[in-house]
Amino acid sequence: MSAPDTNTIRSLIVSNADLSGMSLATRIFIGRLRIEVANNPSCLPDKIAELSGFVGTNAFAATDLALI
Amino acid sequence: MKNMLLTVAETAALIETGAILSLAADPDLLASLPKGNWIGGSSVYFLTDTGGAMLRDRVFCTQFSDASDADIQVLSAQTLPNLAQGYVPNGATIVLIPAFSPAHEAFALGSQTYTGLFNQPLMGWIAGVHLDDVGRKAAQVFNGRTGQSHEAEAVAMYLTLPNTAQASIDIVNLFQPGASDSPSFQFETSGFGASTAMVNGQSVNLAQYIDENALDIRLPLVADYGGAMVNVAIRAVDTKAGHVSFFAPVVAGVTYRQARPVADYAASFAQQTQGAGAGEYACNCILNYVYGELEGKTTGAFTGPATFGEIAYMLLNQTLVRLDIQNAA
Repeated sequence: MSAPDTNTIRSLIVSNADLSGMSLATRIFIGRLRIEVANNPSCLPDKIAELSGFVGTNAFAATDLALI
Repeated sequence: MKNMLLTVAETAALIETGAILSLAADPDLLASLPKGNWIGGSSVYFLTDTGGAMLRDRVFCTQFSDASDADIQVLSAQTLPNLAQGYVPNGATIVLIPAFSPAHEAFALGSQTYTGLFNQPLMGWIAGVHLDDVGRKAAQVFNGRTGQSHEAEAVAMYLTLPNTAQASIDIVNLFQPGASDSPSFQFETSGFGASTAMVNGQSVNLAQYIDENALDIRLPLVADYGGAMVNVAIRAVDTKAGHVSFFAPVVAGVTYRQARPVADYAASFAQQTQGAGAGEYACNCILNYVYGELEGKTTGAFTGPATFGEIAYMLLNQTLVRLDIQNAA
C-alpha cells in the first residue's frame, strides 16, 4: 500500500480530523505530532517527514491512513 | 492467551513446563518462584472473574500460549530509549516498571520519542505496593530468567508470534473530558508536578485554584490524542506549598480538561467493553479500583492486576489497557 502524499500528511497533522477507527499507535503518534506542531509551527516539515517515515515503515499505519 | 489466579505451587509447576508468562503478585511470592520464561511485577490488587480483590497468597498469571519464544531484558532509565531495538518481527512487547522508580519517570517523560516505539504493540503496567505501604516499601519487577528483582529498572518481554497470529492493543477509558466551556488547563513545562498552570489562558497557582473551586481530584485531567483520551491522575494537592503532583506527567502545551464524573465505574466498564476481555492480557488502574469501589465487583470480562499506571505505548492513568492476540491457525 502506497503512503499518502505530502499534502494529505500535512493536513492530517494540522487539522483536527477524526482518527477514530485507526490503530491506537497511529492515533497517539499523530496526536503527539499535532501537539508539537501546535506549540511550534516551524517544526511542521520535520513532523511531516516523521509521519511519512512512520507510515512507510509500518503497513498497519498505511492501512490506517487509507481510511481518510 | 490464558489468565489464571494460581497458588505459588501451581505457578511454579506451570513455570517448570517452560510456559511464557507474565505474573503479578506480592513480591515475596514472586521471589519464591523458580527461574523460567517469566516476568513479574509486584501487585496485590486484582480484578478477577469474581470481582476486585486484595490478595497476598495468589499469583495472577497470564500465559502467552500463542508466543513461540520470548526474550527478556532489563532496562534502566538510561537504556529505556533503546526499548524498541528488542522488537522482533510480528511480535508484541510487555514492559513492567516499578512505581516511582527512575525508570518510571524516564519512561513517562520520554517514551513517545523513543525510536521505533510505535512499530508494534507495546503494553505494560506500573508495579505497585499495598496502599498502606506507599512511601514505605518499594515496588519491584522481576526477570524470571535470572530470578532477580529490580526496584529501579524496567523489565521487558519481547514475544515472538507465529505468522498466523496478530497482536493488537487498545484502551478503555471511562472518562470523557469536560465540555468545551469547562476550564482548560495548560502547563509550561512537562512533569509529574506543577505549581502554576494556565487555566482558560490565565496563569494561576494550581493548588490554590483546585482548592478554591473545590475540584474533585478523583477525576483526572484528560487530553485528546487524536481521539484517544489520555488521562493524567491527580496524586496530591499541597495548598501550603502551592504544588500539585500527578501520577503521570502533564505535557507542556497540551490542553487538558477535567473529566466528567462517572456514576458507576463497574457498570460503565461493562457497558463499554460489551462482554469482551476474556482471554486478553489486561490491566486496570488502582485508582479506578479505589475510587470506583471495585472490590467485589467485576468489570466486564477483563481480569488482571490493578496497577499504579498503565502502559499503551505511553504511560496512562485511570485507564484499562488490553492486549489481544488473534491466531488464525
